[in-house]
This record gives sequence, C-alpha cells and structure tokens, in this order.
Amino acid sequence: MTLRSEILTIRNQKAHLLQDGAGPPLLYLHGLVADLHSLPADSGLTAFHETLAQSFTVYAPALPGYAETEGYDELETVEDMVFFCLDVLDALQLDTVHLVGTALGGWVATELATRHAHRLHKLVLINPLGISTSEARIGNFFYAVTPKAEGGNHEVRELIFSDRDSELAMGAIPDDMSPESQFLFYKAQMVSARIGWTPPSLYNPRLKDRLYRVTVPTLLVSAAGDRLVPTALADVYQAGLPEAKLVRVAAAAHAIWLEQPQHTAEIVTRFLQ
Amino acid sequence: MKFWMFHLMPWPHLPENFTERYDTAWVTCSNSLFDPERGPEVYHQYIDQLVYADTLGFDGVVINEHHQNAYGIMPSPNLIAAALSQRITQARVMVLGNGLPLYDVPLKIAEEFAMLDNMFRGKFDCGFVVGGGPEYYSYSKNPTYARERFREATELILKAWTDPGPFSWEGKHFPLQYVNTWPRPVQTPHPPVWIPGVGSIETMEFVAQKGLIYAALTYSHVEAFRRNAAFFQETVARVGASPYHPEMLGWLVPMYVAETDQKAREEAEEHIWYFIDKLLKGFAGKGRTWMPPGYTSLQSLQRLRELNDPGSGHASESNWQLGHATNWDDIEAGGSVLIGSPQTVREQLLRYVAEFKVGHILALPQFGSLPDHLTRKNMELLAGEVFPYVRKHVGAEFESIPMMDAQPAPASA
Repeated sequence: MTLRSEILTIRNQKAHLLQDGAGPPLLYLHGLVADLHSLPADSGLTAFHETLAQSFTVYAPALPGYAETEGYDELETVEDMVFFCLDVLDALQLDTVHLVGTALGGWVATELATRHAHRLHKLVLINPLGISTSEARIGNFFYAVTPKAEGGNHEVRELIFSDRDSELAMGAIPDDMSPESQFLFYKAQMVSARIGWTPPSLYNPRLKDRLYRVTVPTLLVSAAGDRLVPTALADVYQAGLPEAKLVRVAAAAHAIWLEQPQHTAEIVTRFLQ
Repeated sequence: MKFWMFHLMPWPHLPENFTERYDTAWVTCSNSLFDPERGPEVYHQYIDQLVYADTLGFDGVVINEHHQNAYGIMPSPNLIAAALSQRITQARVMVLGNGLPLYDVPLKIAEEFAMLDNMFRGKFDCGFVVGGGPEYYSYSKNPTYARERFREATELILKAWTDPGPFSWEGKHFPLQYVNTWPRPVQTPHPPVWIPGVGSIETMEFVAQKGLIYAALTYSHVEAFRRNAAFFQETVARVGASPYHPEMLGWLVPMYVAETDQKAREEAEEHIWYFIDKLLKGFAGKGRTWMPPGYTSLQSLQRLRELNDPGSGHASESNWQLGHATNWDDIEAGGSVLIGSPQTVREQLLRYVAEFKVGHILALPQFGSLPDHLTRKNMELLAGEVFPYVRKHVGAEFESIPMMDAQPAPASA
C-alpha cells in the first residue's frame, strides 16, 4: 500500500491530503516533526501508516502551514486547527471517524474531541502534546532547534528518538538536509511556534480541565522514554479522560510510530477493532 | 553628511575563559557574570564617553536596546537618553531603537519618544526595531508575529504622533479604544524614524514609502552593504515619497584609529576579539545562534538561501559575518571594520561614503573590552582627523541634494 497525495480545496485554500487503504474511515493527525508532512514524501518512513491502512481507510491531512496546506497567515491558536479538521471531515463527507493523533496531532485531536465528540467513534492519542505540568514539562523543542556552532540537528533528534545517532534518526532528521527536507522541517517549526511558542510550549493551559467532555473510548499510547512528552503526562491525560485506557510502551521514545511501527500499529488496530 | 557615535554598552568584564566555558553571551548567559561592584563604573564611563562625543563635535550619539545578555547592558536605552538629555547640549541623540513587538502597549514607546523629543528640544532621533532573534527567547514573545506586530506598532505610533487624539485603533495585535498620546513630539511631523534592515524588499519599500531612514546595523561584508544600499536607492526611486537623499541611509561601522596602522591594530586587536569571540557568540557568530522559528519568513529564507548559494556569485560576501572571523585576515576580508591610521581610515571611509551614497555613518568607536582611554583617543582622532576630511570631500556634494519632504526640519533649539 502507498499513501496517495492529493490537494483538496477548503474555503479557497489548498489542503494537502494523504490517503490510503480500505475499511472504516480513520482521520490521522500527524506529529510535530518526523512524521507525515514534515518528512519528504519519498522518505520511506510510512510503515506505521501503511499498516493502519490495511484495516482502515486512512485520511491524513497536513495541518495548516504544514507541507502544501495553506492557512499559516490566518493561523493563531490550536482552535484554528480544530476548525480545519472539521472542514476536512465535511469536505470528505465523513460524518463520524476514528481519530488518531500523534504528538501535535494528538493535541489537536484532543481539542477536537472536547468539542465535537459526536463526530468520533474512538480516539487514539500517541504521545500527545497539549498538556504540561510543573512536575512534567514538555521538552524544550524551541531550544533544541536553535542552530549550534558545530551544526547539526542532534538536539532535536535527542528529543524525538531513543538513539539520536541511529540510522533511522539520522535519516529522518539529518544534519545536512536537502532543500526539500529543510523547507518542510522549517514549516513545521513555524507552525508549532505560531500556536505553541508560549512556555512551557506546545500546550493549552485550559485543556486539562476540559478532558471530561471527551465522551468516546480513548486509547493513550505513551512511550516510557519520551523526552519531548514526558510519560507522566499520559497519567494526567488518563485522569481527566472519562473512558481512557493507557498503554505504556517500555523502551520507546517519542517517535514510537517510526521506531516501532508494526507494534504501535497493532496496539492501535486492536483497540479500534 | 552626519557622523554619529554608536554605543552598545557591552559588559567588558567577562572571564578570560568565557570562550571555552560558555556557548553564548545571550539569553542563557548567566547574570552571575555581571558584577554589581563594577557595574556603576561601567555605566558612568560609557555615559561620559557619549557626553565626550558631544564635546568633540560628533553630530550625534546613538544608543540601542538589548535584553538579557553581555553584548549590551542597555535594556532600556530610553533611561540612558533621559540621562543624556541633562548633559548633551549640541549633538543629536538617537535611540535606535525600541523593540516594538516586544511590548504589548506600543503607546508607551510613542509616549516616551515624545517625552524625549521634548526633553531634547527636538534634537532627537528614534528607531523602531523588530528586536533580535535572541530577544524572542529572552522575553518569550512569539517570533512568528514579530513582523506583523512591528508593522502594526509602527503605523500606530506614527499615527499617534501625527493625527489629533483621541482616536481608536482597530488593529489585530494592539486594539485600542483611546489613542491620545500626551505629550506630542516637538518635531514636525515627528522625530526622524530609523528602521534597520538586512536587505528585505518589504522593509525597504515600507521605509521608502513612509519617508523614514534605513539603517544597516549588521556586521556583514561591505559588499553586502553595497548591494543593499543600491537596492534601497532603487526602491526609493521606485516607491519613495521623495527622491533619494544620502541622509535616508545609515551604516554602522566599528572603527579604530591610532597614530599608525600598526599601532591601531596593536591597540585594538584584543578588544575586537573580545567582541567577536565573546559578545557576538550566540548572536551572529560562533556558538548557539538564537534564531527562533518564524522570525524569518519563508520568502526571506528562500532569498537568503539563493544569495548564499555558491552559484549565485554572492556567496562569499553573503556568508561572511564578523562574528565568524577566526583570524585577522578574516576580519580584513569583510572590509566593514575600519582600523588604521587617520590617513588609512579616512580614505577608505570616503571611498565607501561616496560609492554607497550613505549620508549617516554610525561609528562604533568603543567595542568589546576597549578601555576608556583608548576609546577617547580613538574618538578624538575620528572627530579631528577622519570625519572633517570625509565631510569636506563628500559633504558638499550631499548637501546640494534637496532633502526629502517628509524629513523633519532641523530643530531650532
């Protein structure tokens, strides 16, 4: 299976969509970096998504400002991302879907679920951003992206991967990026800064107290060794969500969907089926 | 033709091993390195130097704003300006500038600059700046709004100075029910406004259309400035409120003059390296560079990438930054630090001024750890043997060009 790329027009702006598979509809909201729409299309790092597509019809839009999706200039808060997702659902004529989000996508998915749970069958959140506490602060992504004297992106890889020097990590976020990779990576940073710059970054202080509105079965997947989203935050999510099951994966880092694609896809598929 | 003394007010007492031990002089450079026992002396020495510039006949002095770093201990240049208003009698004073997007109520800046214009009896210039990348980390302000907020705050302040109040402002970032700035500025229509730029066409067009002054404050290659100066002149010709005049353009140049070329280098070199290796570390040089995402637009990034491409023909000068220099040849290669005897420096400066048609030289006679006595000697030689020569040879030509309409009339005080 391969993800097909197409461009939708939503409210006169381009929306970039990847689509694949057959079965019940699944809306996939991508992560901050090292995921669909922040990696070049030919990166070959789509095993997780393609495995999901064996059981579901996967729709993976690029959030506003990512890849080819327009709307960066009008973007202000995560709320705008939620409206975008509603527009995508309507454009695809999808009444209800399974919603799966990683990292940034997990944050947007939760925000959507607190408002429009009736559009969802089930919700899956994989290392979701969106909540930060004094005890467990979200990793300092905007510090990690500052250019170093010695060059390279090892600080970002350190946040995202279990081994920052692994072949996988170096392939996804190399030190010397192609112009296309650099462009996608910078757009991802711009968008995340636009909606999430305020420290401790990439969170909404109101979200925790709104989780009670997510009245659909929810699966939380948390990587025990996540350095971007501390795994303790999954417990905060679980405590607030009415129907949440938490699966904590030992020996895993933030980009669990890249490092353990089959295993992660199985956890998700089992829950959704 | 105007010659200004620019002062950064650097912290001159960083430890010897700073370069090895710290990766930046900005944002996270611990303030435990500031020594309150020596602070007062540093401030008073620097203020006295600015006053001395007035005594020596500099046309003006320039101070600027930076936050949470050792590079410049002047988070509020408006305070320094207020102090100078009680001691400077002849020269103009310029605050270049205030970082508009860093503040949530830009009216405070409109008010303070208007106060200073009154306190200086109209011999006051001001600058609006976006603030450097590090400042967006230091103040945790969203860098992706830097340009939008800058543009809106600029429009707001100019209107607050020129339209009778009260009026309401329906801006995206600074909605205000009552804009009614007391006091009003003395100069008509307002104090000269300087805007720094690094070559973006949007900034140049804005400056040209509004009749403001464009300033190059980066320590970049002289050829990069030549290109930007030419580009700005074209922009003024295309969209400007009036024909180009050299006093629409300013250029910041570190300068050191001594009796001979050799002596100049001997006296200045250690302090230049302090500036490059310590103070620029983390800003535009070695170390961690605090460049937040979204501070540079995708379009500007693309343009920079094209200029830096080896095939562009501009790569060597576009990539050159004073902060990256590792030896004396590197510094000289940039051509934008003037060091030597009065003869050497004035010939070079005259050539630049004439070629670039730049009417404001913002000389930086104190840099890094340059001590007071050398700073003063440098200032004396600049004021006595360099500036008059350049003024004489190029000044007349510049003065004959009519001033633009939007330029405020010279103050009468």
